[in-house]
Amino acid sequence: MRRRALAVIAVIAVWLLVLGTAARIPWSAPLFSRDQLTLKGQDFRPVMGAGVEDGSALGVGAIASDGNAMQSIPLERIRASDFPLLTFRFEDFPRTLELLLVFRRADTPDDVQTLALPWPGDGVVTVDLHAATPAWRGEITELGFAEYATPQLVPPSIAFRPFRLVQARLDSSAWNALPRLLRHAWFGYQPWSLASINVVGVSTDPNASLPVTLVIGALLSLVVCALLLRWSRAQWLRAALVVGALAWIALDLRWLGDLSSKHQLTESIYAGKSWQERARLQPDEDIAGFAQLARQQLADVRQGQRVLVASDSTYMMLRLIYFLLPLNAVPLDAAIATAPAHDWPDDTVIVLCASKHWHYDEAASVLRSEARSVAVTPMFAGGSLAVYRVRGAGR
Amino acid sequence: MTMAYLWAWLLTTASGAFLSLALSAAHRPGRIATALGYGVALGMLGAAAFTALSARAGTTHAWLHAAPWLALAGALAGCVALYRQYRAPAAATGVGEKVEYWKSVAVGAMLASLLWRGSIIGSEVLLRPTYPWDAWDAWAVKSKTWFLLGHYVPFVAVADWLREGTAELYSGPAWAYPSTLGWMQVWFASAAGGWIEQLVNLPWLVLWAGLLLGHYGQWRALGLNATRAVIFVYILGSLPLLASHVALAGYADLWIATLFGFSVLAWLRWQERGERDQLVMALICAAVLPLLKLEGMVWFLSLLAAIGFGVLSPRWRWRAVAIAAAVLLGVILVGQSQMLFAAIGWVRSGSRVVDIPVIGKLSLTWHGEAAIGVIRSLFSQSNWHLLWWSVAPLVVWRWRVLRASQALCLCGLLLLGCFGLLVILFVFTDAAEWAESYTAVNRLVMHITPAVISLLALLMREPASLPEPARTAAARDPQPDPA
Repeated sequence: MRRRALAVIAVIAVWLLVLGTAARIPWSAPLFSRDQLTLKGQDFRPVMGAGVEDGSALGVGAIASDGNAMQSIPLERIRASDFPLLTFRFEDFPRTLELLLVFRRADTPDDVQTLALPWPGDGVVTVDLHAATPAWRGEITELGFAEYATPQLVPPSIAFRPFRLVQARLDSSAWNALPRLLRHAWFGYQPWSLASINVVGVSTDPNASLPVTLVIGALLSLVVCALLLRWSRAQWLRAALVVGALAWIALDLRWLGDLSSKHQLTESIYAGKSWQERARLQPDEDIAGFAQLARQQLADVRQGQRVLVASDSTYMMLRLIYFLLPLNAVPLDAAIATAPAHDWPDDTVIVLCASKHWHYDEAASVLRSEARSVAVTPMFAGGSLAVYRVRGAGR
Repeated sequence: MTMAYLWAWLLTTASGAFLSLALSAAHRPGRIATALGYGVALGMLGAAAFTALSARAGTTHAWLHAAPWLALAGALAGCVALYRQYRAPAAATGVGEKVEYWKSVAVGAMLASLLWRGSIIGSEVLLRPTYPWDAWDAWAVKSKTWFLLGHYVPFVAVADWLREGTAELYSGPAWAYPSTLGWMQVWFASAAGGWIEQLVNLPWLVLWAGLLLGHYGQWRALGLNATRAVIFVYILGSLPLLASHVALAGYADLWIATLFGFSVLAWLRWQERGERDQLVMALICAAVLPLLKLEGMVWFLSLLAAIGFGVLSPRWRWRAVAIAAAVLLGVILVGQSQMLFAAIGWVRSGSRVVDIPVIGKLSLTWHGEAAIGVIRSLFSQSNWHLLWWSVAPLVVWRWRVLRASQALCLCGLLLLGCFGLLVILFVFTDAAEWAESYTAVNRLVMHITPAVISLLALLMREPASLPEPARTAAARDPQPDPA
């Protein structure tokens, strides 16, 4: 009986040690935080977008024309090392938005530092800023939150819904933050991203790894129990199997929860819509719009006619080519690297989309990019889209 | 969803299942699951093949052109299956497995969990337009072009595309990628009556279900009891990266993982149970790999080498190893050499450089950061739960069973070889950047993951279901019941 009690105490100690290390709480930290700085929502001012006082909170009711919103509050030069923990609370925060912490330091007053924060939902979230970003140092003079449509996942036109910024709080390190820190480090919702096909979660996640923590905690617990309870090999094996199965189930439940949260976002955007509406609701609706415009300008191209596409962003260029299908399009840079322009087919068309590298020299009637040039005749230019027909191609 | 689309699914599943049954005459447990699992994969690939052969001039109604051929092939396979089933010895009517109540509950919970995640990822596929980068940049380009044009056009290198200005040629960054999945997408797009990306991507969900069913069926046929088979199906189905490849459908990696896993299982069944038709199945599944993705050639050749190695007598195996080692040593000593490999072409090696046609030119040097990237991918990130933590302890625990079974030893060697190739690729070549940036390391590891789980599952068979001498070896191991 005494051995069992000892084993229970030892296992609890093991897990406190393992979880405390994972949460990076200093061993010298008190149970409750010594210093606190509470920032009420109503004290934040909208820097981008519009917001009004809503009781003690700030109601954010509109975004700026660029699709972003930001609220900030000036601080009286607080020392970042004194307040490594940030706790914040929003209400009705839409799943379609991503949240950033923005802050300024006294040593670089013109630079805005940013840190991606977990999706807050309706609950309280705690983040260890010291562990999350090396930029949280020196003296902080301003702190705020910025919101924008989750990139490459949510169509910006439907991303915003009003929400309330209720409160933010900065704390010194304390053990009572352990459950909240780990909950959001390990169980916080992470939206799909283009990298999700390669890595589940975020490859640069600064938090301690849950699988590694579970394995270390389980192994130490097994060793402690085997020593204190004098297990036989068969008992040890059975316990290892049970603990392994429980750890797997814990990880799987966490994954199912995350998958379910990801799916809620997908449902909120696409559910109940026809195939055509779903096809229209592209996360990169700006590129889809460019493709539609380009298609109108290229309505008279013959079947199979060569189209060359350029943009400063590789993503935008490739995405535009995909949206333009079945037009016969290829990256302009690939064509230039392969053959000189005078060897191109004579009715080749060039589409430039949001491109500063390539610009049209009106005097010489050529497109230029660094040392490269292509003689062209403009067909269309409007906003970030321009269409040209190649001149002097020989084929 | 149109009736034509549903018919297209029925036809692919039925013809594939008949082909699978025709190639597995023996009455073994899990036969229906195997037939359905292998069936959906083979059926979809069959649809792709017939679409490519018969619908080039009219892709808008491609499925109408290809369906009669697929139906005919399915009917023929069905006749062969019926004939072979009729001639096969009747199944032994064994006593049903008596399962304790708590195990039934656990099995029910695992199946419910798989169904729940299946419903979530299925809904993701049906709601979202094609999402991940290569899905629209590489894999769907040909199919979308062919379908929207209404006919086939060749994809060529940019130089040829520019040179042949008047010809109806297309190009793009992925012009050289295999077209099999593209033709499969054309089949489903034409059946759906339009380029509806969600319906074009639905095969990824069905393939995932087929992967689980096929593995369950083959594990049962290889002697794993139903409870343990469900546990390992849960392990396979719960892997987060696998589910991500379904939810974000459009990459070829899930297909490679499935077909490689199927091939390994059929090969094991041929070795352990002596069913020759399973060798044919293993070769079919292996031969499809290079038609799905260029890297599939590496796995195809690895499988061929393993199968060939397995049929050699023990004396010739050592000779083969000695010859391979001598050739490798010669290449290292000579420094510069070139070798013609079947199906790959000339592999050239120079001073610290290897040029492999399938992969490209790779300079050889140690990349420490990449090694850390590989370790993080396998053990620290959330891609695999605790799978890679479990492999070594389970193999050590069941070492005697492994050593006593030639089939499992060969399978272990094959997987060790494949894993070694990946480690060399990521840690010693320029491909290290794919490991450091995590862009490919997990996807390539995924190719062999179902086969690794098969090895673990078969190591965990009850002694009574193991072939001798593994049975005696297993009986000597301590047996805490994992199920």
